[in-house]
Amino acid sequence: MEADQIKKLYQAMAENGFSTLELELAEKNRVRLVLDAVHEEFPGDNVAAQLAALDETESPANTQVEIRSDKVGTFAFADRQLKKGDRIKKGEILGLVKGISFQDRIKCSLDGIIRRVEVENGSVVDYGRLLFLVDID
Amino acid sequence: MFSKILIANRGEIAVRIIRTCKRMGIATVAVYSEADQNSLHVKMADEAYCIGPARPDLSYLNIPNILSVAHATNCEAIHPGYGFLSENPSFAEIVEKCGFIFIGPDYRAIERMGQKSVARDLMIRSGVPVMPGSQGSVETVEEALEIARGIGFPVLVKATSGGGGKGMRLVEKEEDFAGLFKMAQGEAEASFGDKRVYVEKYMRNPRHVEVQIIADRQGKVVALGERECSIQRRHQKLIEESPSPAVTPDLRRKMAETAVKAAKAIGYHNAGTIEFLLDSNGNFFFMEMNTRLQVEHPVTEMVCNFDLVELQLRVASGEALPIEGELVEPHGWAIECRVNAEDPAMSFIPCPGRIEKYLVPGGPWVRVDSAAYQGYLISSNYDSMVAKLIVWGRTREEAMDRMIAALSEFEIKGIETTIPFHTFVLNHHEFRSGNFSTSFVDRNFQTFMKEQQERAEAVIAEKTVVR
Repeated sequence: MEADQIKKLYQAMAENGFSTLELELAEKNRVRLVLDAVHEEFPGDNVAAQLAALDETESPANTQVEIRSDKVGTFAFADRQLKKGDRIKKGEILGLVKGISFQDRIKCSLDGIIRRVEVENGSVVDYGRLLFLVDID
Repeated sequence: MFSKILIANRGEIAVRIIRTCKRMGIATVAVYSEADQNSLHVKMADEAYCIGPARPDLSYLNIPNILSVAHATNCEAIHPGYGFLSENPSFAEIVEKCGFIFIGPDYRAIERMGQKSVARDLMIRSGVPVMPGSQGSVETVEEALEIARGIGFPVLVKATSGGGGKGMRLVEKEEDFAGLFKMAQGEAEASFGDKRVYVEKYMRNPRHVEVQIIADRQGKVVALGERECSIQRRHQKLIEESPSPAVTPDLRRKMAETAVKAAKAIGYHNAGTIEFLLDSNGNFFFMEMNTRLQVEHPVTEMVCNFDLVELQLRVASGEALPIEGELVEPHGWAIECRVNAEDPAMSFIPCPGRIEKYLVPGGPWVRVDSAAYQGYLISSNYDSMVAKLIVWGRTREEAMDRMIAALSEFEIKGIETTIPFHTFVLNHHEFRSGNFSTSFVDRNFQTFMKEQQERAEAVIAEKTVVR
């Protein structure tokens, strides 16, 4: 799909007040366009930037997993403060989410390498918050 | 006063509470479900945390997640709003046990008022008039029938743990009693997990008039006048006003004294509402007590000149009520219309959907309490209220005219709303006369439908002529 076509779709979405548009094209080629519904005007020049951002997040490598919190509380690293490039083992406790009446252990079910750390010691994490991005071996 | 509170609610009431907090310099923490990430309360609060998926039992009723947010963000108190956890005594108890202040009454008061028959007995003992009926709940048909015969038909069989008309049956004749009694028991068990029911005399065409009270922890209780809530459909209020056209200054004093006495008897603190049934002779009977802020609280604010959320925060933090005497007399007249995403022409069926256009009315003495905006999606996961439109006037006449003007200005496209029905009621001679009862909507619904149809036909006819 050409950038020009996508631009036109965005324009049509903005005009009709759609916030999300999902298209299934040939050869399992899926495009998902998201437009903030409160935008009054067509974002215009930002399209290129938005597309670049989509490239980053919407086409993850098959071997990448997101580790999210399904509890709400204060985060703390477990045995070590993880950073990008750290190798983690299957079943290793990456961190803890401490709520008022519980402590949830954050684990990874496979071996891999930390690609991104989205959380700090002591930060408040809520339901569905992305904690780590892991490249699975 | 608190420096930071958590609001365990969503929609217009969360926004309403945040507004008062902002003015008072209190930081706010909002919680939200995945369906509400673009909601106004999330944008307006100082901090906001997702607590679960759209389903209320996994988010807005998720006590561990809500308390974990309050704990992690160092909140001092929790405001429950209305609905959700606001009348859940276990929640209020856990909140206090975890070291936060519950912005509402003591959990024991919530518990006792939540049990309809317990509340009834408490009121009898406090000298508050109640409808004749059984003492506490009744177990068997025989025992219940005996009581029904004693008080005379028609009677109501009501669930002890009930509310919103569920587990409630009207029995007109003795021969129908056994069957309907068992139905009420079954429904009570299915809806509330508690099959206990009680029997009460049924009043035909009553008015629903409620007294707003506020009490501090020092034992002072003040009644902030009354609200007339007779315009309702299947126990859902549609239009409320304060004062009530049926309440004279003398009756107001009596009702306020009774309400204050009832609140004192149970050691109540914070905001509460005592609902009464009022007959055409000025006799009133206790119906139930709501131990929270009500949806329709703005009409009281408009005529009493007090911000009820501010008073709630003040008394919860231990301050004494800044009000003289035990009754605040109303000044002028206020009316509220609940604008719901419902199609009145289709028996008020909910119409969730995206709001394509949203223009709110304005001008002097017009207030809109809402969390909606253009592009906002009314989710089918939650109630269908879009906005509360509240107006004030020096007289009832002026308030009604102002409401009609404001309704005509209110433009909501993309969903059906109850606005046409509100306009119909505000123009109706019976409503305007002030002489109406809870049967108003049922009796006048057909006329409304006919008018709507005629209007639609007129539009079609006009279009045909133009062509």
